[in-house]
This record gives sequence, structure tokens and C-alpha cells, in this order.
Amino acid sequence: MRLISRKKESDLEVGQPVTGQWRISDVLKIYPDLLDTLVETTPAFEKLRNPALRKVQSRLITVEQAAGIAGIEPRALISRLNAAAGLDVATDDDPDSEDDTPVASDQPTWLDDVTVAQELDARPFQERGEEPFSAIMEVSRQIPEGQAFLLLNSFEPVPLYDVLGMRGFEHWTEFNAPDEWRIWFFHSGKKLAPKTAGERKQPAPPVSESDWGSADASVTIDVSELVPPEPLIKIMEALESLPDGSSLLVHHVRRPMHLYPQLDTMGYRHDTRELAPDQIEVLIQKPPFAEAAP
Amino acid sequence: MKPAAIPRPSGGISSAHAPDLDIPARFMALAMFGLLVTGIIGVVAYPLLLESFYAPKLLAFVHLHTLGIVAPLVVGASYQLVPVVLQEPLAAPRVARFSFWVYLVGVLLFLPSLVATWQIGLGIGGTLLFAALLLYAAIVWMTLASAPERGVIRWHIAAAVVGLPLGVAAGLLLALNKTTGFLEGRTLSLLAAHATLMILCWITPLLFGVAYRLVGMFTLSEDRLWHRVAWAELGFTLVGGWTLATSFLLFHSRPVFIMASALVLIGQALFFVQLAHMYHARRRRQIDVHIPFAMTAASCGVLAGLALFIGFIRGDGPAGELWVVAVWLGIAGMMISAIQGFFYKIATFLVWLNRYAPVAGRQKVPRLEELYKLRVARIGWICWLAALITSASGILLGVDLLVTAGGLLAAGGIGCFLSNVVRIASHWQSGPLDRVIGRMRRSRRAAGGERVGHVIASE
Repeated sequence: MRLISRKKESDLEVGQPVTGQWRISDVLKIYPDLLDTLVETTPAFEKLRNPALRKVQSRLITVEQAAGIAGIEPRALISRLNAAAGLDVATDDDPDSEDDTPVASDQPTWLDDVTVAQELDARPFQERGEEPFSAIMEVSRQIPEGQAFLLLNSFEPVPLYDVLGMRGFEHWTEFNAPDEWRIWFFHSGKKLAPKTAGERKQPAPPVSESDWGSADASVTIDVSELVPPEPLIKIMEALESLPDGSSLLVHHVRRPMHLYPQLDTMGYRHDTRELAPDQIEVLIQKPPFAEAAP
Repeated sequence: MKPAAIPRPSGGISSAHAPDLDIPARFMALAMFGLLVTGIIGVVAYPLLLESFYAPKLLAFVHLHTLGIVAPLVVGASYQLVPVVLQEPLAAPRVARFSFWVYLVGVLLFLPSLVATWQIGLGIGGTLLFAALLLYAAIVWMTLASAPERGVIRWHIAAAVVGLPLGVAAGLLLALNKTTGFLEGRTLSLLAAHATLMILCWITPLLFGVAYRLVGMFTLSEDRLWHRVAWAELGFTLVGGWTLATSFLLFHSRPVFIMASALVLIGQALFFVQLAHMYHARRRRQIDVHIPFAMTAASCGVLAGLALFIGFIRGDGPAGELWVVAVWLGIAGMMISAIQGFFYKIATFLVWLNRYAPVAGRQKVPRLEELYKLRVARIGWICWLAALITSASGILLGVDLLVTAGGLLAAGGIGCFLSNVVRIASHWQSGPLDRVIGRMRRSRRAAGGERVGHVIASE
């Protein structure tokens, strides 16, 4: 089974306004000078100045998610980026009037007396240029219902909230320092429904076509800095962690020839596109129900 | 500007496109058997290196290396790696399987016939080997033709596929000459051309091209490849190799020999520099077990080129010791060393793929390094390196004792290597050997020993 890929309406190029669906890597590729703007927006983005970290992390989050990390409205960040890029984009927002402070919400009741079964510091992974996703999912699998695990991260891992939410985890996030976010994930057992096309903010793609935009993938991982067979292991671990019906976007430097038979055997749909030499993307979709081969 | 998606043929890649693991595995098993034989007879056979080119036993011993180890492993590895390197499914896998049986019968008939100088066996065995290798060349060529890859690695493989049929044809003529003697005084020239074509126009470009990709993949240095240097290396190697072979057959001009061997030497030196650069610039800093073997292979290539060049400068005849050293360092030093090093990556990966890939992500699976003993691999490399040094010195100095010592050391190196091969093979599937090793490991672990690499309970 394969996903039939739809070509993007147009390739990103200079002059196009930044939207919430752009990945940060796209933003920095098209408008490299916007790195300063991002860093000015929040110190959490200071790490993007490190080329190794930038390569891994900028691919993983969209502008919309970055706004969440920065604690500002997505439209405000989009306006700020477009203004810095010298693009006159009509918007309802006045960038000057935005409130940059994170919106405080009530602390959940479970936080007071929850047992923290495990603690994971993801920052060493990021410093090594590695992805902590598999380690986080591994820890989450070991947390019994009614207990929590504490994640320490150098930025707010917004994409994780949905992924772990679909596995029955609620979260509470605290910002301690620019490079220290503490997130408690409580295993409540209340699973979020997987996002469907109808719930997306963007118009749903035509039937039988997959959206190659980052918003379509529940999780994005980068295995380009791993040697065989580590990419295969990481990908299979990530897929195992994902809820049914979700999708995984993999960044790689070559076509994972030996992965395809595994995916076919498991009943996962997949498609690969070659952006450039040494730049491959594989979109893998888990079946919505347990229809995978045993 | 964001790069556009490169259009690919429709149809996608599915299980049917993946390389079939049994195809390379059977060739590799044959190569390991050949290696075992060389290890067993090493002490007795190494002194043959001091004999004449025409000695039937020496010819058999050299061909045991080339047809019993190098060729099957290169063919098997090609069937596995060419699709991966070129990102294109293997053309005609059924024919590839068939080619194995043709090759097996051919080699089992040819090698004993070479020792016994049995003319009919040589003719039939040689013809079967010729057919099997032609099938292999055709399969690789067809795969190559439809591959999207257009870079320097592809051209290395293409050059090798062109060189192979001519080299094998020369070998077949030599085999038939044993019966009819039609070559008369040209036998030695054709033998030299055959060796040149096989070593410099088939194995060398194939080995170098695949090495560029494999080393890059396994050490995270793919983006560090100096493409211009790789192109230059290919150019020098091919022009030098083909000029040498042609000159052996047609000109017999000493200046041409000197010029061609200089080009070969430059090509080998460029490969050495390229490899050293890639290892130096690698992002995976761990010293992988294949690195010392690969650098030994590259060094032997340079030394073989140097011996050839000096031999032509001195005006030595084909029976001179420098020629023998050049061929020996080319076959045992460059090819067998590289084979051992890359086997630790290729074959281990194949076994891992067969056994552990289906459960990856759902169970804890071992790392490649956990499928064999690293210390044994290192000891094996030291023995092998010592074997190369002593045997080459023995040939140059004409000292029988040194060559015999080389045979002993080679047996030790091969023994270490093959013990790891058995260990790796035990992971292929859960079987009796797997259970025995599993029990041994568990008992050792219970006594505070090593980690267990096996994950799936065999009981």
C-alpha cells in the first residue's frame, strides 16, 4: 500500500509570505536573516544558532508550534516574521499590540499529589544532535495509569502534547529558564481522539492524496545522523509509539530500502519523496484501526 | 529556494523491490568456505608464492583466493549493495539465484582441475564460471541502466561491469589453452592481461565505488566525499589498468608500462587519501572494526602499485618477485582485507535484517557490534596484517621461512575472522547453533560475564 502524494501547489521561494504551516527549517532556508528575529522573540530559540541543533530541531516544528513555544499568538509571530522579511502581508493583527506573555492557566488538581514515576532530561539528547522522541515514548510506555513522568526540555515540546494526549496523557508545563522547561505528563487514561482531516485548520486535501505539509504528520523525526540499522530501529520504535491513524514524517539522507518491506508487512502506507540528493522525506501512515499484519 | 521534488517512476517501492537476502547470503557462504580452505592449507600453500607463475598449484592457490573468496563475495555483495547504493531494485533476482548454481559447479570443477591439470574439467569449469560471471555482469548492468543515480559511484560500478567480461574471457582462453596450447608464446602476456583486467578493471573500481558509499554511510561522512578526487581516481585507475592490459597484449612497450603503472599508482594513492580524509572527517567518532581493515586494504593497494611501478622501472620480467608481490598485495592485501572489513558491516547487517528487523521497535534488538566479538576481530586484523607483512617480505627476500610464517599468521587471522562469521551466522535464525550459543552466553552471564546479544528466546 502506498500513499499517493500530492505535489505542493508551489514550492516555497523568496517573496512568499510565511504561514503557520511552514516549518522553521523552511523559514530559515528561504529567509536566513529571520534567525535573529526568532531569537529576539524568545531566548528559547537561541539554540537555533547552533548548526547541529538547528538541523535537527528546526525541521521538527512549524511556525505555529514555535509560537506556542514562545508563548505568543501564532498570528503575531507570523506577522513579526513577515515584517522582518520585508513582506507586506495584510493581517488582522497589530504586531505591536500583541501580548507576548504566556497565558496562565489553572494548575490541574492531579499535580498536587501525583507520583512521578520517572524523570527524563531530553536536553543532553539535543546537545548531541539526537532526537529524544524514542526515549520519551519509551518512558511513557512504562508509566502506569494514575502516575506521571517529568520531562525536562530546552523548549516547550508542543507537538508532544497531542501525541501523548492520544495515548492518555494530560500535561502541565512550567517555564523555569530559557533552556529549562519542565513538563509533567500524567497518565490519566483519557485519550484524545486522533485529529482527522476535518479538524485541521487547513482545508482537507483531496481524497487519496496525502498532504506533505508538516501539519499532516503527527510526529517528525530526523534519522539522517544515524548509521544503519539505527534509522530503521528509530523509525519502527517511533511507529510503535504512535497511536493508530497517526502519521510519521521521516527525514533521511537516502531511501531506506530495507524499511519498505517492513512497512509493507506491517500494513503501513508510505510514500517517499526526494527533495534533493541526500535529502529524502518518507511519510508513513499507521492504519486507523489495528489492521496491521501481526 | 526550496528544492522541488524529483519525479520518480510511479509504482513505488515495496517488498518486491527489496534485495532478496538469500541471494547474497549463498555467495557469501561460498566465499567463507573458500576462506576456510585457505586458512587450513595456508602453512603448506604460502611457500608456493616463491614458485614460478606456471606452477599449477600456485595458479590453483591464487585462484582459490580470486574465484573461491573474492569473486563470490564481490558478486554476492554486489547483488545486495548495488540496489542499495543505486537505490534501484535488482534486475532479475531469479537469474541471480541461478547464476549461483552455475558458479558453484564451475568453481568446484575448475579449482581441482587446475591442481590436477585436468583439461576437460578446466574447459567445462572455466566455461561455467564465464557464464555465471556474464550473468552477474548483465544483471548489474540492467540494474545500473535504470538507476536514478548518475554520480561517480555509479560510474565506478559501470566501469567494473565493462572490465569483468573481458577479464573473464581472457581467463577462459587461458584455461582452454591448457588443453590446446594455441596461445603458444603469448600465454604469459595473456595471463598478465587477465590479472590486470580482473584486479584493476573489475575489482578495483567496484571496491572503490562501493567503499565510498559504505564508508560514508557507516561513519557519517557521505557529505565529505571529494567527488573530484573520486573522479580523478577512477580516471587514473581505468586509464592505467586498460593501458597496461592492452600493452601486455599488443605493444610490450616499456615506456608505456612505466606510464600506465604510474597512473595505477596515482589512482591507488588517491583512493588512500580519499579514505583517510573520510575517516578523519567522520561524524561518528567511534573507531569501527572495518576501519583498520579498510585502511590496510588501501595501503596494500598503494604498495602493490608501487611494486608494479618499480618493477617496470627496473625492467623485471613477469616472473620477477616484484610482480608476484604486486599481485599478492593486490589480491590478499587489498581485496581480502577489504572483504574482511566490509563483511563485518555488510553480512552483519544482512543477518541483523533477516533476524531482528521484523521485531525492531517492538522488542529490544542488538546492535550490529553485539553480533560478534570485537576483540577477536581486532586480534584477527593484527594477525592478518602481520601475515601480509611477513609473506610480502618473504617473497621479496626469497625466504621460505618468512612466507611460511605468513601462512601461519594468515591462518590465525582467518581463524579469528571465521569464528566471528560463525557467531554472526548463528543469529541468522533461531536454530540449534543459536540455542547452544545462547545457553553458553546465559551461563557466562550468570557467572557475571558478557551481555547477551540475542533477544528472541530460542526456547
